Amino acid sequence: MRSLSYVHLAFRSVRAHISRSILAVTGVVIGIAAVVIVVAVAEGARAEISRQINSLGSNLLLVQPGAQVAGGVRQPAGTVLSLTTADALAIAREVPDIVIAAPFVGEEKTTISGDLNWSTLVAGVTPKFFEARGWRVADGQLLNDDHVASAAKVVVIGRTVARELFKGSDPLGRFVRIERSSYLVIGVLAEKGQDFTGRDQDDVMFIPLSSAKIFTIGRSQVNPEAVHTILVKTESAQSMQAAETAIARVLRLRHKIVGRKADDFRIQNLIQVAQTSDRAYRQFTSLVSTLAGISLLVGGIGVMNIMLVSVTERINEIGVRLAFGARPQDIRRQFLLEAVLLCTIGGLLGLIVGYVCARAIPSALGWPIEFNGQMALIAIACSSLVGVVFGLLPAERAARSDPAALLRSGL
Amino acid sequence: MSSLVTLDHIHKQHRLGNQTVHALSDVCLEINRGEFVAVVGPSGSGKSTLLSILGCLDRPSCGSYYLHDEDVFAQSKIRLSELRNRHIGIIFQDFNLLPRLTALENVALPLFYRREPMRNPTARARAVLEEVGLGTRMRHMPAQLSGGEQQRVAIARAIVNDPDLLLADEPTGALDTSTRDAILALLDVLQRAALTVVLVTHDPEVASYARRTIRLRDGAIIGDTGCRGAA
Ligand SMILES: Nc1ncnc2c1ncn2[C@@H]1O[C@H](COP(=O)(O)OP(=O)(O)OP(=O)(O)O)[C@@H](O)[C@H]1O
Ligand SMILES: [Mg+2]
Repeated sequence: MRSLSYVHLAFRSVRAHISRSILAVTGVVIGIAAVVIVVAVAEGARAEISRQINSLGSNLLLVQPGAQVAGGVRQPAGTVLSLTTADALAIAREVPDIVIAAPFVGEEKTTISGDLNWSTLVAGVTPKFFEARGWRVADGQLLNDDHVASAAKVVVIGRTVARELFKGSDPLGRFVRIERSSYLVIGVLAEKGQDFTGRDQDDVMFIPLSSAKIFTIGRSQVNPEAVHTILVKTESAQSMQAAETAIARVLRLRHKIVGRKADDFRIQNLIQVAQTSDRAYRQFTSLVSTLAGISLLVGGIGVMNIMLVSVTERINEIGVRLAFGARPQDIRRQFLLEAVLLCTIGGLLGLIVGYVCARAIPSALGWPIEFNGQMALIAIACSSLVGVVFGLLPAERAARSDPAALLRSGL
Repeated sequence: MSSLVTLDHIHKQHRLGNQTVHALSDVCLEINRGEFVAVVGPSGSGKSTLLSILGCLDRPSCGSYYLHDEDVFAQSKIRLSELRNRHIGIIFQDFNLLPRLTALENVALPLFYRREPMRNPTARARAVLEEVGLGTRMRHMPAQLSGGEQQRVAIARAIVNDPDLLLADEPTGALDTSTRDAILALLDVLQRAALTVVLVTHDPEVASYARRTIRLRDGAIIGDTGCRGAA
């Protein structure tokens, strides 16, 4: 009899006590909503990281001056200017599997155009830098080797700088003042957005490394050839580990560091840096996961409670079913299914609530979120699991009830 | 053995705290196919206890029960469910219809639990409801039916799976006399159609419908008008 099937029965009995049922599954609703939020944020973080890794350029190592660890205290990068342009050349020459080793100097400067000024990162680079990061211009051209060789006063600016200094007019062919020198704008970079630290990657301008050293930045009395960073691009992701070791060997040799003496440089894998930069997400997701766990537990107990009440209320129904041939496992199945249905309804409501809440996260907390079909699956699986776990006891009690009590009602 | 039911030295004790109540003591009984038996006795004499044992709803403390030569209480729980499903139908004083099912669905309940499926269970349930005179009340909920109608639904439910044994505990106790007579007439018809009926009652008038009367007092049989019954 279709109309008597277990699912149909479960629906009827949930519907018969609709408000009580909804109250009972509130915990499940909250728990599943929290699960949905956690998954949305975690997925969003993952998508964001891989997007950033793409924008950083793949297979990149960052070599910076400064001891990795000095006496247990980590020195800020760049306090000792130990890396030089020659180091970059040596790395490119001597380390196998390396495509590019691009030197970089950079400093925060106030730049001026007409009566507008803007403080931004001014970086001295060679054309290889753009190659390593895979950056392109939206307008004009990039720096080339001639610009570097002649220490030309030309600049390629990021989108944000273009917007702030030129307010919508075409920057190409105009001039930007950096300290006492004027630079001709020859290119505007394509927009890239924020990096994993939240820094605006378009708030930057690039001048030839040679020009930077002569006119503007990175001038060190101690070491005129010093650079702030060497950006290294390896052939493949697999060769990064070996390249890291080889670079360290080359630099130790060049810097005459022997034995147990510490390095005067450090090498970072940008992907690892990006992946460890999501601590805030992690704290949030572990907090909400805890909330999810507690809510599901409370929700499960709520469902168990309502099911126990239901078993007591329906002791006559159970007796009748047993008296007319139901096996204990039929009764168990019926009540288990009812608990699962109850929780699944809670799970579906939780899915909706979680979706609505998660939608508010990007604007409230500034984190990206991501939804996928898997989430609905997880929500339904979690909630039915809660139903099974917390439905077992009531179902067992129902299955064990004594049908002989039916004939005792007259007493 | 040719009898449908054989009870062999059945005892039933209930434990209430540290006190033991002897609900049945040393009951021996044979009921043949097609009999109409009334069980009478004062309140607390063990009538319902006897019926719940006959209906495989409760186990005796000791003694054996043979249904169709099958030793009932030596069977597994699964087999007991099957016996209840296929060989026994029960009618209660307060009907015990499931309140959220329609009359038709209530009648179809034993078919739902039937192990070997029936070709058209709904048609069967409908036919039985018509047989008890409720062809026009199939879609009604129990609360929308009168007491007599509810008891007819309960009877239909008890016979839908063609049982051998129909058990009734005070089936007319909650009904007025004219409805009572209609219900008893219905049971009589069923019994004449080769059903074995065991009916528990206080009421001597009800008992007079039966062809055999068993008297209980303090859990023991003190009288049996049946010629082949063992006392
Ligand atoms: N579960 C139980 N626990 C304790 N005592 C019980 C239990 N069930 C029945 N009894 C006792 O067993 C005796 C027989 O009860 P039973 O219900 O069979 O009587 P009855 O003849 O049907 O009475 P009535 O006519 O009032 O329905 C009674 O004394 C009753 O108190
Ligand atoms: Mg009784």
